[in-house]
Order: sequence, then C-alpha cells, then structure tokens
Amino acid sequence: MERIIKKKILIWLLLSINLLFAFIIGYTIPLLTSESSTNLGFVMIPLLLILNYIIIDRFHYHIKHTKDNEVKLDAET
Amino acid sequence: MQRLKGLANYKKPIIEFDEKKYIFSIRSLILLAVGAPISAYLIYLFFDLEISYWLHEIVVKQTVYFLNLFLNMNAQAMYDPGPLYNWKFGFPDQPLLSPIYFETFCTGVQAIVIFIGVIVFTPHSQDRDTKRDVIWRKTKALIISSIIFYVVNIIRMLIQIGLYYDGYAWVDIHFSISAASSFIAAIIVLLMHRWIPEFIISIIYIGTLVSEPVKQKRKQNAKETVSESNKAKLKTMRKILRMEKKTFSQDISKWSKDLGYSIEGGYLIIPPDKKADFIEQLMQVKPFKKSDLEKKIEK
Repeated sequence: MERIIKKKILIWLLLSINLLFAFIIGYTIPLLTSESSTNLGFVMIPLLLILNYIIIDRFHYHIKHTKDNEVKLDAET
Repeated sequence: MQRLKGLANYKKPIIEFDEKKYIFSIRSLILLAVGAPISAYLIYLFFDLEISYWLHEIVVKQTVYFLNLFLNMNAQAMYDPGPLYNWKFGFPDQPLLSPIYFETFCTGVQAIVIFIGVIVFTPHSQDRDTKRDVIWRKTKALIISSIIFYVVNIIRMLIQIGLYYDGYAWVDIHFSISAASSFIAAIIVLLMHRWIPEFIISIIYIGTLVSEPVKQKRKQNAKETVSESNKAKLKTMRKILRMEKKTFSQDISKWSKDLGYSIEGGYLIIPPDKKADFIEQLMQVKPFKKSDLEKKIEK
C-alpha cells in the first residue's frame, strides 16, 4: 500500500512539473524579442504533450504491475 | 541481399545482462545505424534555421543573467539581426572588448541532438520483460542528458566569457575550453548505460551477429578436415576456442594428452575411434567446454 502511495505521489509530482513547464513556456514567449519567439511554443508544446502521454502511460504501467502482483499473491495463497 | 536474408534466418544470439535478456531484430539495428545520425543531423538543421533563433535568445539571456550574477560584469544580450548571427554578448563597461557573436553551435544543441538520435533509435529488446518500461527509461535518459548538456554548455560559456573579460585572447580560450567541456559526453554515455543498456548491448550484439557466421564457417571447415583426414589445424582450433596464443600453446599439449589426441607439426591428430566425439564437442555452442572435458577425463 505504501509503495502505491509513493508511486501516486511521484506521478502527481511529474504531472505538476509538466504543468509548470507549460506555464514557463507561456510566460517566456512574450518576454522574447526575437521575431521567431512564438516558435518556442510550436516546438515545446508538442514535446510537452508527448511527455504528458508518457507520464500517463507510466501511471498505467504501475497500476497494471500492482494488479498483476495482487493476482499472483492471491494465486499463491 | 542474399547475405542479409541469410542473416535474418540465422538463429539470433541472446545477450543476458543484469538478469534481463536482450534480443534485437536486424531491422532495429540497421535503423539505429542509419536513423540516429540522419535524425540528429535533420534536427540540428531545424535548430539552425532562423525560425529557431528563439533558442539563441534564451541561451544568451540566461548566460548574461548568470554572468552578471556571479561575475558582476554588467554584460548585455544584444539583438542585432544579421545573415549569420542574431544575438551577441556586449560589455558596456569595457568599451575596448569587442562583442561576442552567438551562433547555433554555441547553444550546445549539436550534442543534445546526437544523443536524441541515439536514444530514440536505440533498439528495444524482443524479450517482453526487458522492453516493458523502455519508453519510460528512454524518456528519462532524453530529459536528463539534455538538461546536463544544456547546463554544462552555460557553465562553459560563463568560464570562457569570464576569462575573455579578464583579458585572455578569445582564440586561445574558445576552442580549448569547448573541446575540454565535451568530456561530459563520456559521462552521459555512462549514465545512459544505467537507463538504457540496450545501446551498448546493441553494439555488442552487432559484433556477435557479424562474427557468428565466420565462427560457424570455421567450425564447419574444421569438421570437414577432421572427417576427411583425422586432423585439425592448431591455428584454427585456437581461433575456435577463442584462446590467446600463449595460453593455447601452454594448454594444448596437456589437454590433447588427457583426451588421447596427439600433436604433429601444426596439426592436432585425432584417433579414428575418437573422431565422432571430437566432432560432437566441436559443433557445440561452446566447443570443448572445460566442465565437459573434465568429466570425460575422469571417465
């Protein structure tokens, strides 16, 4: 149970950092003076989306792994 | 082409590392060799386009911020659009110092894209348990290696510009410190091996795949020679057993005596009654395994 809580906190932390990155990108664009400043968003936001997907996938992996372990334990008992 | 087809039909070797099995498809190995450099080059070209000069601005402004924070030199990030450079470092307190122009190579993106290419195209093992969390491991490796390169690049520029401000000639410090800072690539490779051992193992795997048909051919030739003439070339045997010259020459006489063989010139002579047993040992995956031989000698 403790392990699951740790994993949950980790995933929550990763998603928060991802949101923070999104905020920083949005905050940075108006501060830039280059003509190509908006391209920062065009490059970074798709990368953030991919990262978001990978974090969710990791969450799914943990759930699946925990379930598999529970099934194994039940089978053994 | 036929050779490639033959390679595809070949029974794949399995490399075991850290209680995990690594088996790679030929296609994924070719993809690593071709895809990694091409993708790295294309991503670099993208960052070299003017539409990506926002990266120049971010790197210049962050460097200037730290220059003023740590070295208090009142440096300035100056926007000066031109055909090659858009940004430069200016030093208003030192009017005699010429500004330093900033180009794509100064962002360190070339090192980052090489590792992006390598990490993305590193093959996944065909073993289910090994490849289970590979995407997560690759993502970790990508993010951490990119951050390390980025930070080291900023530190490099802080050192270089700090020395330049103190009066060192730019030509003396630019290339030497840039080259010295590339040591970080070695550290990244080591770190990468922690998260994605698939990269180094895939290189070893390529070596195994290439050398395996040669080994098989060598064994086959030795088998044919023994079947026809009851003798095997010592040099070929050494290569099959993968032994060093010195160790082989030390061990072969005792080993042959124990097993009932003899040595004549450069050949190992096998008695006709022991021929079948010799061929059986020779054609094993690990020929003439020490433990098997010891059992035979005891008998």
